[in-house]
Amino acid sequence: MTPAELPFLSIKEAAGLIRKKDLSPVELTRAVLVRIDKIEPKIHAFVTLMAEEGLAAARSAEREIARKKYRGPLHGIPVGVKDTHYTRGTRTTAATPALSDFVPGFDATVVKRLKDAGAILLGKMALPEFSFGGLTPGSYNPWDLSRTPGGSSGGSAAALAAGLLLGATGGDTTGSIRGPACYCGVVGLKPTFGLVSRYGITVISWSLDHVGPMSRTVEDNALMLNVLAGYDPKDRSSVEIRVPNYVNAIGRSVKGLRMGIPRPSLFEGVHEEARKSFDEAVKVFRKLGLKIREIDIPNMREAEAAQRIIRISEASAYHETFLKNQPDRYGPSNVRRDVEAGSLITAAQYLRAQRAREQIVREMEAVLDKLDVLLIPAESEPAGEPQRGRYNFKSYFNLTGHPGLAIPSGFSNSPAGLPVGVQVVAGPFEEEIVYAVGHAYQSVTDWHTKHPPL
Amino acid sequence: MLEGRVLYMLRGVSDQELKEIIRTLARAADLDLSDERIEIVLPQFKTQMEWIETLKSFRLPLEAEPAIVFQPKRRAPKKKGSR
Repeated sequence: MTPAELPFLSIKEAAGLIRKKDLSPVELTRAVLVRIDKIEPKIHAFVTLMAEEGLAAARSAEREIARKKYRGPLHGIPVGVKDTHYTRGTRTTAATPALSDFVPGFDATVVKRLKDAGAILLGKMALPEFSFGGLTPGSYNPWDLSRTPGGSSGGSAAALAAGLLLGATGGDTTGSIRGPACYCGVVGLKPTFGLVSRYGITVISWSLDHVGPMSRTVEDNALMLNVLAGYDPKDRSSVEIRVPNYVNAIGRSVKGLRMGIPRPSLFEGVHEEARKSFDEAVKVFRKLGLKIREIDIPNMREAEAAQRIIRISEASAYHETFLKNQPDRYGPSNVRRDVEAGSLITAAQYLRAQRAREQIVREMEAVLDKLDVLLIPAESEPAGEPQRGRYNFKSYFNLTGHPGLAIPSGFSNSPAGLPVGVQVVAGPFEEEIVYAVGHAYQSVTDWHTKHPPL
Repeated sequence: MLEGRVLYMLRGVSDQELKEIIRTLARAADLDLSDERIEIVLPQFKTQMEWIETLKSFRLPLEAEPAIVFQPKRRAPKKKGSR
């Protein structure tokens, strides 16, 4: 294997080689840094590159492994985290001038977990200001450099697709892991609300924010979730449950599982290429033995309205200090406008949205009572195409808290060569089922093995 | 997408009146909004009103609680010798 091939190893492959001492973490990290040097100027996926720190961590990992202190599958693996995650001693900007010189004194829980697992933190990944929005200004999609990688976890998705990292994290309040994962042809999980700690991460909305793993394969995603998931008393929403070994779900039979797909009217406005790919994916799942049936997803418009009211109300509360003390330090985005407007929503209006949320959650639970998983488009269009989908398939599950896994399901013909994807949703804390279904799909398709011609 | 819906509750309300509403709400929220900022905020405020209008038609039973839970946590056991 040549050094140029190393950055596209899966985490599983690289971990196997590292464990056997056939690959050194330093060699892998250097190979990734060489590729970053070549490709990063084209896609701008990093806010802060941590080359020196990364190499030092790689040397340390190499020494530990030589002393037979192997920590697990992330030991020696180069990863990135969204630049909303606090990193001790390294600035955390959230892409806003208001935090341009903010250097946290501690690591976010997920950063600490990655470091404790021996992962090599190579950088802080690009996002829109304060993570607001579905695009990542200034970053480019590796599949078409004239287009967006999506957002808000656009830097993480673009870097994975381009082979600049082996794993990454993202944040998801309205679909910000699953959307860019789909646009860039990688895998992204929004876990169940409460499974992964948000402590030490800048906030959009306390009750909608999720943090999750992004990767090139479903199996790698499960490896990362094994490290990221778990109770954290510092996050009030963290749930104390037994965390399984998610990798055990990989390869599990999915034959006979009941899969719901949205009835045709819910596809109104979905781009023809996304729709075609979705239909093809359904055929694959049928061949895998899943029992497919059309279902209704209740109150999608109301869910979107509730999600938006909750999101901006909570964001406005978080931004109160910024608005009061440094309103002129916002960037040129619409964040300041949005949180100013959000400050005008009344408590009763906010609580009505939270009451509606409770009802919508119950209705979705009733739908899932008769199903094992739900399959929906990950995005309604390929990257950079007009967003005409009538319904938002992503933010619905931020509202309900269910896990959603975006997986690549093909490429568009017109425009040519852009990734499209589907999303697998299951009941709360059923990430194992989502992974089993996602991996089954990847075991009979090869979309996830394609790389952009950079 | 929610755009393009009829704003029943804002029907017949002029932009000037809406700006006055924003000014009053901002004052109640202790938010200092200049005339220039109110002009910028106005379109977003209208969008928010659309969301709120959409939810008005959503039937909520009286027993529906908001999806907010406060769970007091048990304090850690006291160390020996402490009161």
